[in-house]
Amino acid sequence: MRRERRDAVSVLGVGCTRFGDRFELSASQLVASAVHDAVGDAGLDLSQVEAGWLGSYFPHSGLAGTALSDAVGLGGRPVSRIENYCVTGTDAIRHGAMAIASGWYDIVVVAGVEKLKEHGDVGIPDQGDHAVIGRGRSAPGGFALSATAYLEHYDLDTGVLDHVAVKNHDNGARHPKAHLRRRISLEQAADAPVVASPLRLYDCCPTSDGAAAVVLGRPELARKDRPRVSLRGLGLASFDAQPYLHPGFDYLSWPATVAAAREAYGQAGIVPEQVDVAEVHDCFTITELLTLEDLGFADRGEGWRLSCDGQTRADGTRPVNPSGGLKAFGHPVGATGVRMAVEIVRQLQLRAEGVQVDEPRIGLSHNVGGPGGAIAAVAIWGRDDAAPVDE
Amino acid sequence: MSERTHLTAVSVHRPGRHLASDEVAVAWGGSASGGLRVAGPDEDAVTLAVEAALGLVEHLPTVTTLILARPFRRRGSGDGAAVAAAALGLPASVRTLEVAGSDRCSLTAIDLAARLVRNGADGAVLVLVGDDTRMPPGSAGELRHGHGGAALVVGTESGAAQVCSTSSRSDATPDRWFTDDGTRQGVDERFLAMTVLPGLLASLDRPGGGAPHGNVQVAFPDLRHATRLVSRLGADHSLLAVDAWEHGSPGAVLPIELLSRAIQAAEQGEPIEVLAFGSGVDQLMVEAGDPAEVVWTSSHVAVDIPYATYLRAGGALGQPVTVPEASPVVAWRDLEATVRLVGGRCPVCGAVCYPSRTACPACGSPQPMDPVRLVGEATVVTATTDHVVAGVNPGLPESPVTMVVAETADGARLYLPSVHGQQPAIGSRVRTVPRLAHLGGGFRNYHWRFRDVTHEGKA
Repeated sequence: MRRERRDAVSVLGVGCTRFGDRFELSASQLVASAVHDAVGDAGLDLSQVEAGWLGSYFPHSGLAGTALSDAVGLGGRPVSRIENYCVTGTDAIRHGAMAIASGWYDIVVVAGVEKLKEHGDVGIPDQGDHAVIGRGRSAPGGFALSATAYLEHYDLDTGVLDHVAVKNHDNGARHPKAHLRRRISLEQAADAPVVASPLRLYDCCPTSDGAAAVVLGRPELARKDRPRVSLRGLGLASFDAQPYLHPGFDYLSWPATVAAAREAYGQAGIVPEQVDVAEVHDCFTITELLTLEDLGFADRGEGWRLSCDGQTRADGTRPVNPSGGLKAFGHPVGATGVRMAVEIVRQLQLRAEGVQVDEPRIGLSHNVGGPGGAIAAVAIWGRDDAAPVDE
Repeated sequence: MSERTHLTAVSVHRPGRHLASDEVAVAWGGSASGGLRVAGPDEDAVTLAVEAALGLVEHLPTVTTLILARPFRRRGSGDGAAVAAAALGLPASVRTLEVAGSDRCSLTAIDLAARLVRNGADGAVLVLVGDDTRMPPGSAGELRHGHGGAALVVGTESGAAQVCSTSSRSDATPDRWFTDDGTRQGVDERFLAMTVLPGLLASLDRPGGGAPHGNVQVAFPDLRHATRLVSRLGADHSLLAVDAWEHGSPGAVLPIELLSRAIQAAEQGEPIEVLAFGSGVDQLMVEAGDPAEVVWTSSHVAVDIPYATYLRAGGALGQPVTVPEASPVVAWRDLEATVRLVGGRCPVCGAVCYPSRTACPACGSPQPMDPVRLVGEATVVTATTDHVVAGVNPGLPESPVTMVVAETADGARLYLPSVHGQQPAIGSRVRTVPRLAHLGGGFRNYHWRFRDVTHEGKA
């Protein structure tokens, strides 16, 4: 996105279902619920929506763009499905935003959905894409490789991970739509069963059902009765699907996040210190720690300190995942990036009931996904009464 | 052809899993002591044989024919000799064949190899032996039959032993057979030992006739009978079946294990006779050579496994789960990467990656990569022990699965399961070993895993 486009896309409305074991609702019903919420929140009618994008990751849902158009009756209008590992949701937003920024449309809807509890799988479904090569990879196992390396490299113990879990459970307990609404203690985190060493149960996000939606549009179409939030920057970086097997990859950072953040900060004309609230991809506790460093919130090897010192708490100097994050809010993959945008917009509009942080003006949402964190996206959101500041 | 024929080098391998006999006794009643070295769900006769042959890598370039001896082809097997040749990185010009059907198939294969070398057809023949057969659960023989692999280079170059003579007698007595479930059954071994074998032994031609001289090793699954046969032959050496007593008789591998012990115990030039039975008898007479040419690739430490794991590996607890990605078409296209473990080296920047790519991950060059075989040692970069992956990702060894990222000397990163229950530390040494990944698609899908060699000397 060029700098001059950074004030071209505003969020007109947001919607999100409760995340969790939503056995009672189909993917279409979840999508419909989130989209109707978002369109209503925008003060619009569905007939005014010109195009749609749906983010969903797992193929077993059988979803195409029609899962959105069927769900809410967008017949005759262009609808596409986006799939890009765990970055799916933010990438769907990227497509909607490009359509508005280019002037192609005035109002579009972007939804994300995932049904992970449909098949009774343990964890997310089969991660194999080849009969033998890469066999044995799982989501926790993949991120655990970074945890092993991080703890060894900085001579830390797993206690640094427990602080992330406790903080995000604390936050999730206060969010009415979170999947896991209960607090845990450091002792519970430390004593939980091992999932993929060194990650234990409370280091891992749950697998959830859920949907979220945002209505994007030209800024002048935003409601006048509340602060307007616009997309200030969005960077997405994609490395080949096995960056973790590149010589030199140290498992202490995801280059895709670093690249996406650089792009997004540049577009928005801000530095990391200006981010008041962030929703980052804490699929596992280690992911939040590395992301704090990759986003420039902390120096290399210092992310754990930010977390253990309490600075990332909702009432801390650097609130991260006040919603509870993937860790407690849940992680219906395709919905997550969209859900983060919903959360950030609500924070910036001071209507994040239960989890509101203190007067945020600039917010950030972040996804990282794929084997070894091959793909990442960072979006910067700003309240339009708070002017962007150039570096 | 006047040139002498030698067993240039010999390698024996026992799998790293141990089944304690009392585990089995718990299931069937009674009591038992000792135990067996047994193949896990990710090992079979082919991988056991190849793992042994990896102890002889310096000899492999001379090989022009490969013979795989295994008593029985298990479900899903194609040409195991061709798979073994690929796993060992041998060129497609190496002729491959299998010898099967009996426990003496290993000596039959050596006999065949020696003839090929003697008549000049081959300079060196690689004989591989693998045995992963099982006796019926609960049978008396179950606690005698362990598993193993062996490899011998038969050629004109001197080494472990010199071949003096081979002979063979066939016999159509239905002594052993395999059932559909892959277990081996047979007649009362006492009947064989006391009635059938003495006649067969008497019919063999011995140099000098009559009683044997030197070290006689009799490969027979029931070692008590084997001992009796040795003394009945009037031999002056005791049976060197120390491994078989401790780890179970590895069937077709037993003659090679006995031969290896005998070479290591003998003076240079001492005659050794090895006898193996199964639908007849095969006899191998050698003179001991350099004991340094006998290697053992077994891990010193074995991981104890439950009886249920042993039964599952043998197929006794149902069929393996489906692996939808398994396809003969993909298997053919990716053979270099899978069975041969070949990666790519960028011709521009020299970076090595696995598997090979269409664009270099380091410099982005689209130039076709040069093949690099990555079998060997590597250094651990990071690892995890995953307790959930086996539940969502079929075709893995028993849970939990330790996944290891390690860097080879070429700088390639490999991401493979570890064969051990323990997670290797960052910086420790691991070695690639061949394994049966699964039977997805109905056929045997082979790949490689890491074995921790931090505490092992050179194999």
